[in-house]
Amino acid sequence: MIFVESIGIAFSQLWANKIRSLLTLLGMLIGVGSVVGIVSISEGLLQMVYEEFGKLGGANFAYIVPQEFIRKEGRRVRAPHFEPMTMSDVELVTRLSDRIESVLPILSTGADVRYRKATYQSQVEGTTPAYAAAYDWEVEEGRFLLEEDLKNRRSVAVVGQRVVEEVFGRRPPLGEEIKISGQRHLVVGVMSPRKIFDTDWGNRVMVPVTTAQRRLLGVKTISGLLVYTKDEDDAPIVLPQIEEALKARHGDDVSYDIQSGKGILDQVEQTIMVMKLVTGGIAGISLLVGGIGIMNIMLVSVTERTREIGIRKALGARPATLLTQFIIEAIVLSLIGGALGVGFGVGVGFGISAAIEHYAETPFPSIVSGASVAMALVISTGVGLFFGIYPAARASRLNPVEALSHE
Amino acid sequence: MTQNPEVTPTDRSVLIDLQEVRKIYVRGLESVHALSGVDLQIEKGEYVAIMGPSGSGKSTLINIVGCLDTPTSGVYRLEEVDVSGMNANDLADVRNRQIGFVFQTFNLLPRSTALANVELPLLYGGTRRRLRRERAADALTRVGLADRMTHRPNELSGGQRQRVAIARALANSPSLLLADEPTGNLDSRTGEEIMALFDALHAEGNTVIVVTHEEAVARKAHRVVRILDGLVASDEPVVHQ
Repeated sequence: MIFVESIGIAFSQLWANKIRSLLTLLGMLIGVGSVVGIVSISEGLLQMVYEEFGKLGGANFAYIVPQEFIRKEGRRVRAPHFEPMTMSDVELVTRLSDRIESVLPILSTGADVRYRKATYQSQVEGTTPAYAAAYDWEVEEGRFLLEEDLKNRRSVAVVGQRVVEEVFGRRPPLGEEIKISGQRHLVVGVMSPRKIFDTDWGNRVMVPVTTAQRRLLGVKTISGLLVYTKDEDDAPIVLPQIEEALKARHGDDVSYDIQSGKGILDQVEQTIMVMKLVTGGIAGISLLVGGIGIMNIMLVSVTERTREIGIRKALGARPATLLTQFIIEAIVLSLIGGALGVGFGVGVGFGISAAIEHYAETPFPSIVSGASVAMALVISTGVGLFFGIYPAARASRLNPVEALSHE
Repeated sequence: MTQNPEVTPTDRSVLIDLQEVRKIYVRGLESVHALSGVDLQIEKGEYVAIMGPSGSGKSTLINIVGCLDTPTSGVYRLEEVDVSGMNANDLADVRNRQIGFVFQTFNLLPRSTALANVELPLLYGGTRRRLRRERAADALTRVGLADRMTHRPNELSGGQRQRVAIARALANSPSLLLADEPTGNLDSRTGEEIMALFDALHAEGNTVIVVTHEEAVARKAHRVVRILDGLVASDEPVVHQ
């Protein structure tokens, strides 16, 4: 019952010292608010990365590119042996393991796409029919590339939305002839709109890799391989096998740059984690400052209220009862501060994500996790309790006569 | 105010029993002997004035009697229970149940109403809210402040504040009513009113101990104990005309 009364006393004391309580609340509010805000933005960032990777067909891909130059002792030097890949490497790797979903050649070049009088600088991808499925990219109109297109080196092209807008305007593109680097190609398909990490894929033009090699670039090689595994966790198993097979064919001393989506994702996650820790640490410091504010207030109020403590003691308040009263004051203060801080943090999180969405024109979620809210509240209450106990204990141990004679 | 007729000794029992009570304050290297061996017995229903010049130790004495302070040595029995060696919690309970203390400076909580102030000892004594309200209101009515219950101390006159303090001291029906210079901060007319109130409370059967340096106040009591240099200098009954 004393406990219930103590809550009442605590509230009335806090109310009686409005400005002081408010300033302490502010400290707590900013501390908790920044923790919640930062965590929700970091969570949002992670979520965005996952979603974007999801558009790439997940993190179950890897790039394998033979290196003409390598880094040695910080300097860029010619690799001991460089041998470019060809389409036969695609076949080799495809047959290597049943963990492999598909293998795409990497052969890309910037080229002017011309239709009548319109010209558009686009990215031309020499690729295979597996491309659309691998990237989980749908064809909106017409069809994607076929095996026969590759086999017969047909001059066909599948174009992205931007290309359509830029060179065709309102004309239907299917069946029209465009010139890519001056070479005639028949448009057989149009891809659906797509943006990943703020990059518009609409400026892409897909042509059979064989056509790109002979007619656009005049080469027999490809730049590298894009391997899709069936599962994210297959990469560490499959990638060494691929490297081994490639080296067996091209030579042991060929250098390959191998990067898995999982590895990139891990790196990004790690970066975000570090960011979270650093900013969280800074936010934690402000939480600590808030806590010290509470301790300060409690110390001041103990000194200011020494006489009151004396009166309460003279009337029969036990030390434990006074301790409870002061601790409840600290908890009430930090809980209110924490609750307001959660609101503030959620607001800041949404504000920042809205600002990013507005200026960067990319969807950026702010995710308020229950865990971060609970953590912030537990920490703020803990801080309040921790910093409240010392002054409270001091107050409860005061000698009643000395406390009463305090002016 | 009617005075209680002298009660026969058989009706009485010892309420306060101090034996060889000493209090030594250590201030740095110096030690101050505030009480140097006080023997004092006060029986239930007595009205005692404790007098003495400032620095004589009378305040230390009443603080020990009121369990606000503990003796350095000696024995203090309150209602036959030795309280001189009690811990802080037990002393708090003794103060709460057995002692009603009235201070010179009133010592009311400034931000609480008269009623809330009077409720405090009941609160710490564990009385339920409704009963607490009732008893506090009763106590305020007894001191003539039935119409001032929701006033805060700064809305009350000095005399009214001291009445609130007295009501607070009475709230838990203690066995002992202690007053340390209760009229010291009041003008003489108000002081007389307050002393009349103590007379009335004594007449109702309360044991009253008043610390004062005013002869007029002391003469209201039935017994005057004079303290000098930490010792009982004289202990005499007051002859009332």
